[in-house]
Amino acid sequence: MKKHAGKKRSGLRVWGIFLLGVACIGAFILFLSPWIEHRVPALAKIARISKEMGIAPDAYFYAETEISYDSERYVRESLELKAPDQTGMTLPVAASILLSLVILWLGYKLLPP
Amino acid sequence: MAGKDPKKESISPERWEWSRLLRTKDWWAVWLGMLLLSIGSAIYFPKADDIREKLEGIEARYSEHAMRTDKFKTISFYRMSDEKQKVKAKDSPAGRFLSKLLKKPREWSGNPLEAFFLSEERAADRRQTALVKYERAQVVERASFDIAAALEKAAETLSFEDEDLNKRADSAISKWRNNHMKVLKLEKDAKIKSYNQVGYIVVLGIAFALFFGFGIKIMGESSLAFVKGFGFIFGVALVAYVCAGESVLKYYGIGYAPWAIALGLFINNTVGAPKWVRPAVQTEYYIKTGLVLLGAEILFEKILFIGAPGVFVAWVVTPIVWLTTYWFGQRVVGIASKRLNATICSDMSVCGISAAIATAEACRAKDEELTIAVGLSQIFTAVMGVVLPLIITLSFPLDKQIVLGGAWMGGTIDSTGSVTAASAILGEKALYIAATIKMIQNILIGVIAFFVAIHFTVKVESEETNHRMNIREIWNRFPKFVLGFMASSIIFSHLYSYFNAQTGGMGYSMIDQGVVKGMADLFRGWFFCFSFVSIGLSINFRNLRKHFAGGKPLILYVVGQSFNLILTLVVAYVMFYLAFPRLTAAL
Repeated sequence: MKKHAGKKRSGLRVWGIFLLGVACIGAFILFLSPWIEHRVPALAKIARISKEMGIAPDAYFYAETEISYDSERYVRESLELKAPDQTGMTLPVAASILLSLVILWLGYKLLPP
Repeated sequence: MAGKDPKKESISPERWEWSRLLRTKDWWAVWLGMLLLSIGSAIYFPKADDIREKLEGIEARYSEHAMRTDKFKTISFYRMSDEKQKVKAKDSPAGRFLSKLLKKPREWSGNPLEAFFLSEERAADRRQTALVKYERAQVVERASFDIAAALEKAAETLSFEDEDLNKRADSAISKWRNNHMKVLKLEKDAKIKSYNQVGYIVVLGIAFALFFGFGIKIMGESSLAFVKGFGFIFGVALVAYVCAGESVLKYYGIGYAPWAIALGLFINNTVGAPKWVRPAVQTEYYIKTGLVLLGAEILFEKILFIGAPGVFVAWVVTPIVWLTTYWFGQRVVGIASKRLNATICSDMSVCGISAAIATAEACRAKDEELTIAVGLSQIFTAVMGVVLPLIITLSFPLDKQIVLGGAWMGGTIDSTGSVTAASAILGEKALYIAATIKMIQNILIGVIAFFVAIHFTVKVESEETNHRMNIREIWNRFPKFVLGFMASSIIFSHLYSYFNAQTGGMGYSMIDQGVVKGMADLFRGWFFCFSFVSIGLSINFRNLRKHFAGGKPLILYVVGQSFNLILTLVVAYVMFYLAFPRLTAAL
């Protein structure tokens, strides 16, 4: 009987911790983070600019945000218009790619197993 | 087999069996990923002729007027570019349906239910608020357009020979573009409609359960048990997306990944995940399927867009930093797990969480090891996103802040979102340079994952098993999803170049805004979220602490990132200002 009561208490304690955790997460999302935004000017600035420009700061990969495509378009068009001889697969670009692969190959050869 | 996770798929090195093609999650990830990419191709590729005609029509309409000078981008040049940008294969009925069905819970503020549901009344309120801002922005845009048009005309009357006037016209056009971008953003807000995502979410949950359940059945496990447990995984993934959608946290760059892991961890280490959920805790299955889809987004032609300096910064510095940090981790810091070391190296030097996922799976890292890498990346990305713009504005010469600052942030801050948010503080041009450098660094994931898979299969596992492997054993041990990942990258890179060769911008319309944004990207986010929930649900805090012993992963990350910051800055300066100044001036 004692053992059973102990188990029950332990179960209650675990659920108590769980509910407390849920409350903390809720408080963090709903109250703490907006409060921090008003207290840290650098964060507020990043948030304001990101909102204005339609940036997705939570994107992990380039394809997850449209701004990557706008950026690619800007850079590609600028170079094609003003420095067409330096765009595409030029010798320095090919050499850079080759160098990258050589470095990895050397790494494969020299790294300790 | 010190570094291996006992939960990961067992490998029989002795002999190849054809039945593995249908019996292992490695291969099922390839089949399911390829199936989705094939469906995407079947939906969007028949539209190729229409898209080409539209793009050729736009070129015919604008080209002559747009290209009348190479001194600066004229207004017509931008108009042509904007028109082309609007041509998207995914803007078809099927594409719109997929995008609606697979939509993640939306951004919200104040009321979490708005992640799924927005009443007409609330939508009207938001439209009204946005409309005022939109109309104000439109007035500013029109005024800046008039100035830009007048200066362009003045420059044209002098046959674009007056350098000073050209510069003034260029600057006025850039200002108009900035205002134009803001108007486009506000226009979207001003057109917001009410939505109810609940029905779609239910259908989506069932569809995902059947999609993955089919493979589970063929692999000989109980699909019914999987489907039951999957409901829980899907539910936690939804909560993770809702948490990540809170508007303030979203703008701090805290995405779904840390939320999904944290929620899973929290459940597992308090009340514990119910037993019936276990059959659906299939980290490898979800993550590898997502990685095969990610392969389609790794399009090699994109590395050519920024010329040699960008390629050098992203593709030469990164492997040097990776290899040096890995060596440092093994020899100096003494990281016990090579897999943890490799995962942190990719996380820190390539592009954060997506690189960590690919590397962790390529070297068969433990769930705890990937969790540590994700946690470190999230913390340092947030810190660097605030600190680097400050350093640049306070210490860089004014004429170097945009290109050098942009390249530095693009090459060093881990995730794309944080790169764009931090570099936007320096201005639009810095943002464009930073995001493009980050994009070509993203492409390097494929090469690094392949390198890691080979290194760990041939060298590390040989050492762990104490014998030299023959070709058959290497093949048997090699993570097969890497083949799917590489194959999808090679196939879609080829298709991207093929479409671009037909007419300029067709690769963007058909692949970027077709199979990638209209298929691969929609599914991949969900799959990664399921895998992060599964990771959280299978980790014990005590095990996590064990991997963090002595703070070694933290030391490794800090030392590696410091080296990365110094080397990237030096190389970016040399390449952009000493080796290729004419290219830099063109940006």
